[in-house]
Amino acid sequence: MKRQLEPKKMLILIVAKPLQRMVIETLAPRGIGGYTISTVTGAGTSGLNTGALPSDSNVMIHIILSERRLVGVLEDIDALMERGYRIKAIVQDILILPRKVAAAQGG
Amino acid sequence: MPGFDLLIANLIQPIILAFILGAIAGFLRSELELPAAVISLLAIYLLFSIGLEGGRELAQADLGGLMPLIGLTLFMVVAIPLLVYSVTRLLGRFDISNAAALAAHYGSVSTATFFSSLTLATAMGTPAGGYMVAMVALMEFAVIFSLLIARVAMARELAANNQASRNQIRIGELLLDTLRGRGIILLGGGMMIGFLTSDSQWQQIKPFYDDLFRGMLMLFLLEMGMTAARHIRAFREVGWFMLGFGTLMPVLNGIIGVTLAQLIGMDVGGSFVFGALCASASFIDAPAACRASLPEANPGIYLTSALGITLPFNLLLGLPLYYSYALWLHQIV
Repeated sequence: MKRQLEPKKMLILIVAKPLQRMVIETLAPRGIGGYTISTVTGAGTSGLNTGALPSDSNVMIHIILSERRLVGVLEDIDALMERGYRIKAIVQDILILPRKVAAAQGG
Repeated sequence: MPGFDLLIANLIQPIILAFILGAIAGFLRSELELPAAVISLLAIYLLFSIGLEGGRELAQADLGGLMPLIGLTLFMVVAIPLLVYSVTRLLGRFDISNAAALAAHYGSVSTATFFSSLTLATAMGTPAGGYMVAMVALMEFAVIFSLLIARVAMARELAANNQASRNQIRIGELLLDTLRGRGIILLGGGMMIGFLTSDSQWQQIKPFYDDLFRGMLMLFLLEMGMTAARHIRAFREVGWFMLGFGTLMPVLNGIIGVTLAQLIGMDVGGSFVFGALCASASFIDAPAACRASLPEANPGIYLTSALGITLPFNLLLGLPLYYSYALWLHQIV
């Protein structure tokens, strides 16, 4: 096949829906322009999130990025958590089929 | 027993029965679920409809005569958050963030309680003026005042401990967020449109915005019943103080609201609805503001209290109580 799998990092953020805009604006200066957001429900130390109202809904933000960029983003997330914001940050190692075909390789 | 008759009259209203049905479904962990988009649409419809009606009433009202009510509302925007903050700090021993978050919720209003109070007032033959919707919009600003309380209190505490603030509450941003919030846009925008709408134009849109209102409200309260039931299961996490607070604080605020409203000359229906506004607690706009500006506050406390305790209490018991009080007070004043 033309494309080869590339190793990347998947950063998954779970945060209250009212904080979605703040988190996205925090990520923007790091060059994070691509992400996928889904509304999720659940429960935790912050209480129930039934999803019925914006005030009790969470969002899950999926971001695919390089390890180099991940470090800076995690520093920003850490700073938000230090200010008391309740954010879950999960990092996964993934392999992704890139959109762009890599430059012609030898052979 | 007039009080008991009123209690029953409230409970058998279709909108309250829909809330009770939703609560039963929630307790039974029923699969029944309204899609989030539908709930959002219902909320938009209800806010916009109330705004339109309010604007039409404002167009016919003596605006100068509303100044005492506006003054009283602004007073309550300041007084209720201060009262709630003091009670939760002194009696509940809550920290600044949680106390200010509760002040924001109980200082602001529940549109579900407002809609229901309007319906009850009309059912009892004492309709409140539609201009009350303007007071709903004004009371949204209690959230900003509550966060101002938090800012001042935190600054003083940090200065006393010689520490730097790690979380600035930006009041300007908050004001902007409040002004562009869904509630203000729909209520305020709806009022402006209603104000400018002629009688003949209103007749064209009345079948949608007036005739369907109560039916839509029933669906909304059906969902609110389910959501409240889910949240009330968590009340054990918040403790008995919050159970007491979530029921007694609305009663105190409601009685104060009714009393002051009648002192400025409002009738039974108007003072009752104003008291219901004072007694209610926001569970849509205030939580969003608190999540952003008071991250250390625990949503499990303020949301459970507002949605799981105060909302059901007000709809089932509080509204008939405030109405009985308004009726009794009007007779003796």
